[in-house]
Amino acid sequence: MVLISVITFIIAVTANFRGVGFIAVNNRYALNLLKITQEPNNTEANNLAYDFLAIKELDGEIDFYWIESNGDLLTVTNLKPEAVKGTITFDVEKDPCAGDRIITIGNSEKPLNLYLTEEKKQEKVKIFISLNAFESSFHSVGSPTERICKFSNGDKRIAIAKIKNVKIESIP
Amino acid sequence: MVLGLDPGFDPYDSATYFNFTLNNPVRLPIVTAIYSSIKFFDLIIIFQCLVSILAWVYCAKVMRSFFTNNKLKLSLSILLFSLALSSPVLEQHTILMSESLSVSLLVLVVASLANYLRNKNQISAAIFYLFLICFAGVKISNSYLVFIVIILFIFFNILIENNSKWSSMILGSLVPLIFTTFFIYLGSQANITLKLVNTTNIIERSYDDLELRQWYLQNDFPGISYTQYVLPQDEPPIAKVINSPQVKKWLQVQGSDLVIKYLIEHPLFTIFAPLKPSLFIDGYTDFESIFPYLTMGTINQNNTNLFSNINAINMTREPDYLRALTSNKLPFWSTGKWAYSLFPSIIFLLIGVNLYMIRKLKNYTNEKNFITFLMIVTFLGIWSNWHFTVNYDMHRFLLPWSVLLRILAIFSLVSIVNQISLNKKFN
Repeated sequence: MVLISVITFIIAVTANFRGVGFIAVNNRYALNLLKITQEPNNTEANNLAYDFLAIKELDGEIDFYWIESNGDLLTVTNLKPEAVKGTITFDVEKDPCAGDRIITIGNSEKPLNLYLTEEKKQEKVKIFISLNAFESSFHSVGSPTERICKFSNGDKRIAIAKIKNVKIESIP
Repeated sequence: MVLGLDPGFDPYDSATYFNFTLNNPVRLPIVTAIYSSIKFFDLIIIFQCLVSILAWVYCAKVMRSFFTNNKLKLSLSILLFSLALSSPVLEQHTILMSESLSVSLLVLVVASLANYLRNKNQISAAIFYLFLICFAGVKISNSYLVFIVIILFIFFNILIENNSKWSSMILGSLVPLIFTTFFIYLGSQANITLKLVNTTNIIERSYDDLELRQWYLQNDFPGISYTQYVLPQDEPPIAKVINSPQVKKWLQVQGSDLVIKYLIEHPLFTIFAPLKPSLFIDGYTDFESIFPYLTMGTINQNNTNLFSNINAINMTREPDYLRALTSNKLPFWSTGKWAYSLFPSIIFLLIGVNLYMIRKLKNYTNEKNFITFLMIVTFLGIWSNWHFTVNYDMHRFLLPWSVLLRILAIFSLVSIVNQISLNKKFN
């Protein structure tokens, strides 16, 4: 305990309290103090983020999402305070049950229909993104529900597709 | 001075303090039982002041018993009462929140621990546990901490007791453990507040740090929450964040676990970030360390309406005497930058020197155990609160632990003087 007190004492003595302290992020937005944290010449889009409503799961070392019968919402968000262009790519795999599956991705303006069969169980999707500062784009993921696919392991979800290998890149 | 003043009222938050229920509560039952029984703001202030007076008088009485010199006893009492009357402590009694009771009950816990170490009987242990249960029942974060403190106390007793008393101690500890587990269970039903704090915390700490932000995003923290948080709005930023479907879904399935996961995976961050956050978070400086908050002890530093409150019921502005209080901070508290290093340094130096001086003295075993145990508890309290709260609210969350550090520093100062005076006598 003496040692811990001494370490804390030394760090307290050597601390630097010149300058300005904590300003909450939203206050910095109002004061136009937010900076861009993207590393230069890095195409890996650290300032583009994506969200599915489904939770991320892990199969070995591969992240994936089970898309359920009530659909999902892919949200791509620009975290930068300036416009950005990029792409998001991912693989869509058919549900594990026998039978074909139509998966529709996108919005009413540009829907993308994937016809997944027993022969062609997986397809790669590439969506171009163009977003203004702090803007998000929303892409629904759904399927007609005439065929119900349940898991055999007691998982009560009704799956329509598996999405994996999601990769997001910015275009310089 | 503040009697008769209508308190600031939040339509959601304030009402929860008066709703005593054990079925899906928002607040823990000790604080809601007290507030809903008393009902009136002025009477609650008086009650909180009375509990505080009782706590500090009991604390001074017990801690005086460690010394034989009357002058030192008097000095200790004066210093403790001065701390009790300093404005960061006083102002909490006039607010309808759990902080006043947290501070007072923590002081009672400290006093009853000292009493137990002096007497080592079952009644003293029962009183200590009673105050621990009360402390656990006023705030969700307290309940988690008290659970750990009871476990620590059991091990501590096993270490310091050479006879077989510790077996009855373990049995006796079951009662507070059951109560505390019950409070934790109730708190888990009310963890929406905890999740909101954690969400704000994650955004505020990872916004400027690319690596940190990527970690949270890769662990499914919704990216849209960052932009919802900063975009222009006329409501608190967190309200817009939690209203988005992505965050709602995330709160349902993951919520607060992500902060704990980060702490477990990054032990160096867990241990050293509260002391030197600039080493771990881009954009953070020493201002975001524990030291300024331990020094100031005040609340709402960022509030620009320093001398008025808006009443949410009738939308009128009313004088806020609390934030206008500038008296009686010194020598215990300061908002000056010059003090951010000085105050914590003096506190840790006094405690460290005292522990070093008494480390091999058999007559001071109780004193050494008292300080050592409470220092462990203090570090746990400060570290957990730093990791789980947002910077602009940390004054409030760290206040009980800042007070406890000062009690230990005062006790150590008097103890050092005591040993120096005894050495002089014998020389």
